[in-house]
Amino acid sequence: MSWIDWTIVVVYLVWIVSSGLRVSQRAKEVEGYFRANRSMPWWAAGISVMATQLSAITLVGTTGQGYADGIRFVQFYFGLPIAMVILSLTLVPFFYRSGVYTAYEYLERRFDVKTRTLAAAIFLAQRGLSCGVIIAAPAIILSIVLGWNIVITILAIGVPTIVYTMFGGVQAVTWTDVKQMSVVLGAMTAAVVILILGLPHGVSAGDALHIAGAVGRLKAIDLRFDIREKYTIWSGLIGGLFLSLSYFGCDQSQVQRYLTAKSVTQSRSSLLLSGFVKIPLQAMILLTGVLVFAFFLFHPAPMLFNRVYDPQVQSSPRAAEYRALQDEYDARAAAREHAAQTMATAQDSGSADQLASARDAFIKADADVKSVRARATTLVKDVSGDQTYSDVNYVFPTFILNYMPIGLVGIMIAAIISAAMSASSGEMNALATASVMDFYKRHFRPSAPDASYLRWSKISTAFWGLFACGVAIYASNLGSLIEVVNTFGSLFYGSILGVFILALAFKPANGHGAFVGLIAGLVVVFTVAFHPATKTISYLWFNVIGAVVVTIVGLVVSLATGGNRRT
Amino acid sequence: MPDMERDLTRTYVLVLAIEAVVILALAWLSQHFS
Repeated sequence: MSWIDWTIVVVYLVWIVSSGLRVSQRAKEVEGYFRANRSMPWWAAGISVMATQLSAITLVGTTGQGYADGIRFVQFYFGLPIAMVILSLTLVPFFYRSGVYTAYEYLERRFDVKTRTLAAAIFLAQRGLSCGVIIAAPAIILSIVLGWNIVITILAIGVPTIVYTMFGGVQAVTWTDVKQMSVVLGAMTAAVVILILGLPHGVSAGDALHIAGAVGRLKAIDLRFDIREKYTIWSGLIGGLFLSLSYFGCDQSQVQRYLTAKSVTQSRSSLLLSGFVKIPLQAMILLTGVLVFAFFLFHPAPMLFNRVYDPQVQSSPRAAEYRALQDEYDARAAAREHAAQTMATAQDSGSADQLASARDAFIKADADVKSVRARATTLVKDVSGDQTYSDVNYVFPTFILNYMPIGLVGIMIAAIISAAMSASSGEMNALATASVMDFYKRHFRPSAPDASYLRWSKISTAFWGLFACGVAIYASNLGSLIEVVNTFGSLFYGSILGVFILALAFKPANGHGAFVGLIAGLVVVFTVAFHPATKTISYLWFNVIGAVVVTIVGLVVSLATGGNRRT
Repeated sequence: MPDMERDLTRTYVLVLAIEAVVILALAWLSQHFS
């Protein structure tokens, strides 16, 4: 990286921290620190909702997914707009009017303290770990592709985030989210322009999409109903709906964003912004990945984008085999480039026969390249012993570092760091809110002065930030742990959603029912996720299973224990 | 002055309508570039 790019990254960090600290003057009491005195315009709260969800791994992982698998992942988001409408009609007005700081506070008002405490404890455990992964994932990638020290990279992302979140509270989080989202969108637009300009003479963006489409990269919709398939229209619409309902409706990291809005209407509008924008935004990020695929058809690309085990493989007894694969890859990639060029020419010629034969030749050439890459991946896994080895997340950073001009590299790195900071700052702020409101204030100091709660809120933010950095440093040594924690959320989300469904939709439900139902839901989901007979079920369906089990068990237990006697 | 609660029914319908259009556009994209 050149000194110009370094300067851009440093200037970005200084700009974000200072703008976060500037608003700290407005966080002089707990209300301002955690709820921004309900002063946020809907668009800022709405951008914050999206920025919290869009982590760095979403940015580089989704483009990598577009490169390797096409845009089918977009189906994951199909339930989201429906969820936003349902939440705007149901939970948002409940939360807003009841004046709660946390979603779990509402559970005590409706049920009892044990249900609130259990739900908040699950949130702290799950989100505390995932906040670490949000920081670790991009830090690992940046440290490998740029040769940075992993611990310093983690601290370079984590410490500035802790500083402005700790002093500025939710207002700093929201306003920096707006800036960080602008950096991400600007950088992605620049990447798309560079990708299109980088296509060879005679290959238009339309030709590139036709070439990528020939090998299934633009297949967006899968109508099959197969619960083992990760991404189908049904898993997206049904599983994704339950996941979005739970994530945006019952997860404090999201609830806190829209509780800062000026009114119920503005709260609802902030959520609906995601309903409008999320699918097109994700489709754009995935299409960027598809363009990276098309770009690398015509420009040299490494056989494997993740080179972390290269030295180990080169010095292993299987080094000769790896070199042979590299030679085969070079030949196959050259043949594929020729086939792609021929297909682009045939596309423009208008001859159907010529196009059909060029298309078949390209499909075969691409399959050959894929086969070499698959064998090389298996070899790396065998030599390194790392069965989770994958290079999907390294595709986009490789493009950035090798093909983007000086200056834009710095902006892209700043965008990746931005995404990590915006997602983790929202988490730290929400973790602090739940710690102080659902535990410290509720169980230890119910009537302390406001200044005391504010002091503990800042201490708590710093604690969770440092905890996340610690988890990130630990997780960076355990590749497989990251995969586990990434799907971790779906083990809990459905069950938590079930408790809120009981609270809102079933009048007879009581605290015993909600508590026992929640535990039953978690037991069933964990069993389904890890039992050999059912573990092939796609994780999106865990959200449906958890919600249904909690609702049924919760209702049965409630009725067996006398129903809801509260007036 | 308190912010009056607005009826967002038309916005809800618009969110769902845009989702339907986007899904149809993606289906078209799959078909056209396959």
